[in-house]
Amino acid sequence: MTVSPKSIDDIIHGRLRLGIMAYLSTVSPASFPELQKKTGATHGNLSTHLSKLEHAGYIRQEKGYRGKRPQTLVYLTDTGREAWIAYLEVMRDILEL
Amino acid sequence: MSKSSQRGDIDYIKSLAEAGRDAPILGGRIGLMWSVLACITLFIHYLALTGTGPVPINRIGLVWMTFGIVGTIASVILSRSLYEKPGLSSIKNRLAQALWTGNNILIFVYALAAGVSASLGRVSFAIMDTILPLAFGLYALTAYVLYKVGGEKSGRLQGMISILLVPVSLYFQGDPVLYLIAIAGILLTQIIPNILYMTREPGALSES
Repeated sequence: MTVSPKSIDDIIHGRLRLGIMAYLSTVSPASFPELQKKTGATHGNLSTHLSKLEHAGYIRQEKGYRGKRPQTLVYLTDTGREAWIAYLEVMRDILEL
Repeated sequence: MSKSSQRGDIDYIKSLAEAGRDAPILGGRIGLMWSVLACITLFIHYLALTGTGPVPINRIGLVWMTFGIVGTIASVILSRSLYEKPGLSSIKNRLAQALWTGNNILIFVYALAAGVSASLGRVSFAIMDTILPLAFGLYALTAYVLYKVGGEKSGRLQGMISILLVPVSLYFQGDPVLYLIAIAGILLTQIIPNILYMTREPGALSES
């Protein structure tokens, strides 16, 4: 089987975005500081990559308050889960070549 | 992309997926609170049955109602301290939350129906003793699901002891000793595991 580079989902295919998708596939929603701690990303870097994933419809961010403290919850959407599964299948095919 | 960097990326995403899968159970403090309250109430019930306690047996329903009200209020307060814990929405924690909500509703409805039926003279008050095997059956089911689906290793032994307590608590129906057995059962199947869950809890994370 030949896998063209186009088969790889570029939105997911980045180290930090991969990490975000991997964590959200098992914990959704996750809070922003939770994702920051687990991925080891800086605040700004995580924000940028979350925006890219949100723009593609793979995640959804919900900004609100828990008591007086701000809280951002990040959800993996159904589209995001499908894209994540498809990405893993493509990666498996590449590794099997 | 070199093979070593690919391997590094795969290790990284694997560790994150595992972090979510292995997120510890967070409801330890709530489980512990309910378990301790249940043990206190069961002991008062035992004393009432043997005629040695401060509450006569015909008032024991009020004690159980107080147990339900205090437990529910304390649950709401304690659950607030969990909102900023990482892993709250992991599969294991969502399973535990759903199972315990279901258990509590079922036990409440069963106890209420049994109490009303007995008060109206339709059945004997001895029916109240059947709540205990039902509860241990539900504990066993919960522990089994958390073990099989959630990968919670302690659930295996917890489930085995709980299921063993179903025939034991049926055998001792009508005997006040049943309530002491239930206390010992809760200590083994709920109090000890919930203390263990609490020791594994991560710290809270908040947004600055």
